[in-house]
Amino acid sequence: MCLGNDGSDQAAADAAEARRREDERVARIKAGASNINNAFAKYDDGFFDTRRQSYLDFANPQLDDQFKDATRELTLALARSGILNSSAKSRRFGDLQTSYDNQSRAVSDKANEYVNNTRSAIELAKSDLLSQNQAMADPALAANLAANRATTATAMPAYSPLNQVFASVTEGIATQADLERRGKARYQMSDLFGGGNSSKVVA
Amino acid sequence: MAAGTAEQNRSSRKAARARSSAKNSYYELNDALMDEAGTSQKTSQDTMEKPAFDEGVAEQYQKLLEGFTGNNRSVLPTTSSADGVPAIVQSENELRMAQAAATKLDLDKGLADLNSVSNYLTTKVNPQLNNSRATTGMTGGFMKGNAGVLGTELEAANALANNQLAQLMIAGGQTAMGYGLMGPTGGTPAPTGGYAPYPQRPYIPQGL
Repeated sequence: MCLGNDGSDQAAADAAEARRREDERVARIKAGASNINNAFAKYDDGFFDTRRQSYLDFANPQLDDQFKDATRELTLALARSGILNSSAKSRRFGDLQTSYDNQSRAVSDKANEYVNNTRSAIELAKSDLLSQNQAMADPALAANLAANRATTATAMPAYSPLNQVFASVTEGIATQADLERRGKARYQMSDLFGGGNSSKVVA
Repeated sequence: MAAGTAEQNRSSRKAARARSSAKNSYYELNDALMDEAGTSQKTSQDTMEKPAFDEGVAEQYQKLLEGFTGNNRSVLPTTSSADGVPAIVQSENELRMAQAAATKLDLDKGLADLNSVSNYLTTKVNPQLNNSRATTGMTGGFMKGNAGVLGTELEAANALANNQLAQLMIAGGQTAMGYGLMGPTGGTPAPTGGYAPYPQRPYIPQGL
């Protein structure tokens, strides 16, 4: 006499099927996450150092050109004013150097800002993809999306050229030269008229 | 009937063992998933703990400072007394350049210090937080799926208690017992289960 499987075999088969499907889902999600992590693995510190250098290579030559021009203009302006070998020249060149240092620091800081923005964008893209991968558990689609997002994230941002950062380097030189000449003339006139000394020699 | 009861008890114990096994597997897998999420969260937490945080910030400070000081290629024309520059002017030149260099270093250090914390957060903490968030979300999803499977596994375990052979043996035993209780002159055999039928009385009209 056959009593059948009294339903327990079917229930066991259903449970095994549910477990198999869940294991497959887990495997798909893990594979998708692995694909995403592999796609983003190339964005390491070396990659971001290269990005930083790319901005420096873009901005530094502009800064250097402007600095050379400013140095030349300042030298010529000082020469025209006849104060090339003066303490005024020392102060002017000191100010020019400080101005250059500030701009150089700003360029480096801007490079850092671009790098951090790129890093944040890449992290956001990766995070989005991992969330989507969990939702759909399709590793092939996750890999394609990762590749697309990674390409978008590494697109060159719009770098603005540097403004004229040393525009005021010769400002006031003519005025200063006039003042210095006037001061020099004052001393000459003092010499001419007895130096303004009110004392008298009584013979 | 006793054999049927024993068979049913055996099936019930089998079902209980299957339920226990399913639950143990569920707890075991969940524990492993929670450990995985916990490890990832601990790594994130460690980035904000005091020693690691300070070391990370100091490292970023140094890196930024090297970037600022290293990005300096300006060479102003140098002057010397040999070029006919008066000594007092030459001295003033050197003083001004030294002042500019000192100012640069001070400002480089100041900006590096200012940006070091945010740089550490951007480069180290946030990526790790994203990782732990993704891992926690993923393991949470796995735990949810594991709980769904547990329901079907418990149903399958419960089905093991449904032993038709045992039910048949019990029913057969009850029937046999009924026949055994039946009187020698015949009559209706005892019922095999449920309520015993109320004995029918003959209808006797009253008052006749």
